[in-house]
Amino acid sequence: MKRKALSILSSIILIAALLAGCSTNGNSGSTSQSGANGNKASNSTNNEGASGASFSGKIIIDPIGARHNNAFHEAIEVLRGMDKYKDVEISVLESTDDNIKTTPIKIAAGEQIDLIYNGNPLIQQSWADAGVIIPMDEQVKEKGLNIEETYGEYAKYAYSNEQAYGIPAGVTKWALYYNKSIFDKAGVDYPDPDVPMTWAEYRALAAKLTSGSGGDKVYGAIHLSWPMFWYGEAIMKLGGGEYFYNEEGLSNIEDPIFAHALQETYNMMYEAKSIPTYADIVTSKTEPQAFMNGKYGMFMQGTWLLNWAADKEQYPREWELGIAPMPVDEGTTPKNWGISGTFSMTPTTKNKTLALEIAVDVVRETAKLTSSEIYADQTVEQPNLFKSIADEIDDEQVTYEYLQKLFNNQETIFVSEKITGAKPTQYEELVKNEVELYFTQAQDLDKTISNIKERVDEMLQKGK
Amino acid sequence: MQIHRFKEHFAGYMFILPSLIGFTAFMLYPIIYSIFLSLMDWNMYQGFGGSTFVGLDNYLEVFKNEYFMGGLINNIKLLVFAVPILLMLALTLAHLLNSQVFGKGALRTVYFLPYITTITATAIVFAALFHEELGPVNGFLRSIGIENAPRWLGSVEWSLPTISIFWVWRNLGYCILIFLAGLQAISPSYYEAAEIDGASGIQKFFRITMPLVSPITFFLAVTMAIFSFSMFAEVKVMTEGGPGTSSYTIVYHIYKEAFERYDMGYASAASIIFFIIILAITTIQWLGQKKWVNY
Repeated sequence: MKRKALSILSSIILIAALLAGCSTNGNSGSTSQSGANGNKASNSTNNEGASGASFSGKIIIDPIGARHNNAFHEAIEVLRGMDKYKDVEISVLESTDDNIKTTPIKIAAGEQIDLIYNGNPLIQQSWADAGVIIPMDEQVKEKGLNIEETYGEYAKYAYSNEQAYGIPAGVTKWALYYNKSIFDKAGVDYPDPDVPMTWAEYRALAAKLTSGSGGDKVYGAIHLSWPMFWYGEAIMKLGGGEYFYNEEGLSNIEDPIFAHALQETYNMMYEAKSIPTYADIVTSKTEPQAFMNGKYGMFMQGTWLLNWAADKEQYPREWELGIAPMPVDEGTTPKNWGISGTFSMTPTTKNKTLALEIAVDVVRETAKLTSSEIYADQTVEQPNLFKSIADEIDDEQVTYEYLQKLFNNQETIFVSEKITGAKPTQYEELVKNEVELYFTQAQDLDKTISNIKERVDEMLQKGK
Repeated sequence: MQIHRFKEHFAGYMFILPSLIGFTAFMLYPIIYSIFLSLMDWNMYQGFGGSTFVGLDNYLEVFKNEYFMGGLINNIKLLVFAVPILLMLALTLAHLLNSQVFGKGALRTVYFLPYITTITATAIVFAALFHEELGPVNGFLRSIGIENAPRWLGSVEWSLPTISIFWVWRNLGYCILIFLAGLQAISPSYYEAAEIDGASGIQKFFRITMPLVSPITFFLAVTMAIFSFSMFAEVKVMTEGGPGTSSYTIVYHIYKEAFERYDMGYASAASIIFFIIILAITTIQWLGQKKWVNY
C-alpha cells in the first residue's frame, strides 16, 4: 500500500516537474512578452533619441565576430559617453567564436541578450528561421530609419524573409594577397596592382609559383575548404550568390559555369598541384592564418588579413606582402565579392527601441573610427579606414592610398559571396557533401552536379 | 511496531533522497521532456505557445532522413568491427602486461595516456600521423613498398576506419586497466594446477584466463558498444562527418539538427530512437551473455 502511495507521489512529482518545465518555456515566451511590455513602458518614459530624450536600462551585446575590430570597442566607449545613454548600462560580453553555438542556447534559456552579431547572411537567415533573432521592422519604422539610404549597397543584408532583421555593420571585401618573396624566387612578375587578372591567368600563375616537394613544398596558392574558393568564379560571372537559384526558385547548379569552376579547382589540386588538396586542408585543420607562414604564393581573403599582416609578433615574417585585385572572369573591370554582418535583436531583447538605437549608433560610430574593416554606414566619412593599419603593416605596396583605391573603388562590381535565397544553410550543406566527394575523387563531376541538383531541388520543394 | 517500521523506512528514503533527486532532475526529467519534445514541432525560442503537436511525424522523418540512416550504418560498422578489435587487443595486451614484462608500469601509463588526454589534441596529432603525404604512417608504408598508401581521413573508404583506429587507440588504455584488474583477481593456483597437468600457454589462456575474465569482457563489451554508438567528438574534430557523409554518426547528426538547425523536436525524436537502438543492442548482449559469461 505504502509502495503504491510512494509511486503515486513520485508520479505527481514527475508530472509537476514536467509542467514546471513547460511553464519555464512559457516564461521564456513571456520573457519576450515582458520584453515587449518593457519596451512599451520604456517607450512611454524614455522616448527616443531623435526627440532628444534619454534612455535608461541595460543593454547586453554579444559581438561575436565584431569583437575583432578595435573600433567597435572604441565606439562602445563613445556611446557610453553620450548624453542620451547616460542612464544606460551598455555591457559587451566577452565573446569567442564558440558564441555562435552557445549564445542561441542562452537566448532559448531566457538569458537577456539585446543585440547579437550575425557574421554573414547565412547565419542571419538560419537564425531568423529558427527564431534566434527577431524582425525589427516596427522599431525601424518608429525610428524613421531609412535602411536603404543609411546603408546604401549593403542595405540588402538587413533583410531575411523580406523583413528587416539586422543593422548592416562590418563589410567584408576580398583581395588577392601574395607573398613577394615566392614571386621573386620563381622569377615571376608581381600581379598588376590595378588591373585584375582573369581566373585562367590566376591558375597559370599559381602553377608557375609552385615548387619543391614534401615538407619543403611551396604552393602557388592556398584555397581553404570554404565553398567560395571553388564557386567564387561562378558567382562572380553570374552576379552573386542569388544565382544559385534559377527562375523557378530551384537549384541553378546545372549552369555550366559551376561545373567549370569545380573542375578548374580540382585541376589545381590534382593536376597542377598548385594548391593543397581539399582533404589535406580539412584533415590538417588548416586555418586562414596559414598563409602567414610563407609557404603559399597567393591567397584570396577578406580585409581581415590586414590585421594578421600588421601583427608581426604573432605572425612574424621576413617577406613582404603584396595586394592585387581579385581575379575576374573577363575584361578589366574590377569585381569583388563579400557580405555585410549585421546586429540583430533577439527574443530576449528587453528594450527594443533602445536596442535599435544602440545598434544604429554603434555601427555609425564604428564606421567613423574603423581602420581595417569597412563599415556599412554611408552617412558618415570613414576617415581612418586603412590609415593606421597601413602604417602598422609597413610594406612598400600596402599604403593607405592603395588600400583606399583597391577597396573603395566605385567602379568595382560587388557581388554577394554567400548562397542567397531559400534555405541557404541546407543548400550549402548539400553542396558541401557532394563537392567533398568530388574533391576527394570519390565521384566524378557529372555525378556531383546531378546529385546536387537532385538533392537541392528535393530539399527546396519539400516542406521541411 | 508500525511507527518503528515507518521510521526505518523514512530513514532509508532519506538516505536515497539526494541521489533520487539527482536522478530525477538530471536523468528522468530530461528523458521524459525529450519524449514530449519529440512529439512537437518545437520552437525553442517561443516555447509551448509557438510550437505545434505533430504526433509521430518527427519519428517518421528520422527514418526518412539520409543522414540518420547513414549514421546508423556507420555506427553499426563501428560496433561490429571496432569493439571486438578493441576488446581482443586490450585483453592480449593486458595479459602481456600482467606477466613479467620489462617496464610494465611505464607501459601501463603509456597505454592509459591517450584516454586522459584532451580529445582535440590527440585527434590533431593522430591526423598528423595519418597525413596522406607527410604522415609517418604513410611514410612507413611507402618505405616497405606500398605505393598507393591509403588516404586515411581524406578518403571516403578510409575515413571511418581511421576514426575507428583512433577510437580503439584512445580507449585501449581504459580497457587494459579494467582487464588487468580482472586478471589480477585470478588465483595463481589455477595456473599452477594447469601447469602440473601439462597445459600449454595457449591452453591456459583459453581455458583459464578467458572464462575467468568473461564477466569483465562482458562489462566492457556492453560499455564499449554504448561508447561506440555515442561517438561524437572524434567525428567532430577529425572529419566533421566527411568526406561527404562517409563518417557521419547518429550523435553527430543529432548534434547538428539540435544545435545548428535548432530543430529540437526532430533531434529529440532521433535521440529517443537512438536510445531504443542502444537498449536493443544491450538487451541482446544481456541475453547472449548466459551462454559465455562465467560468474
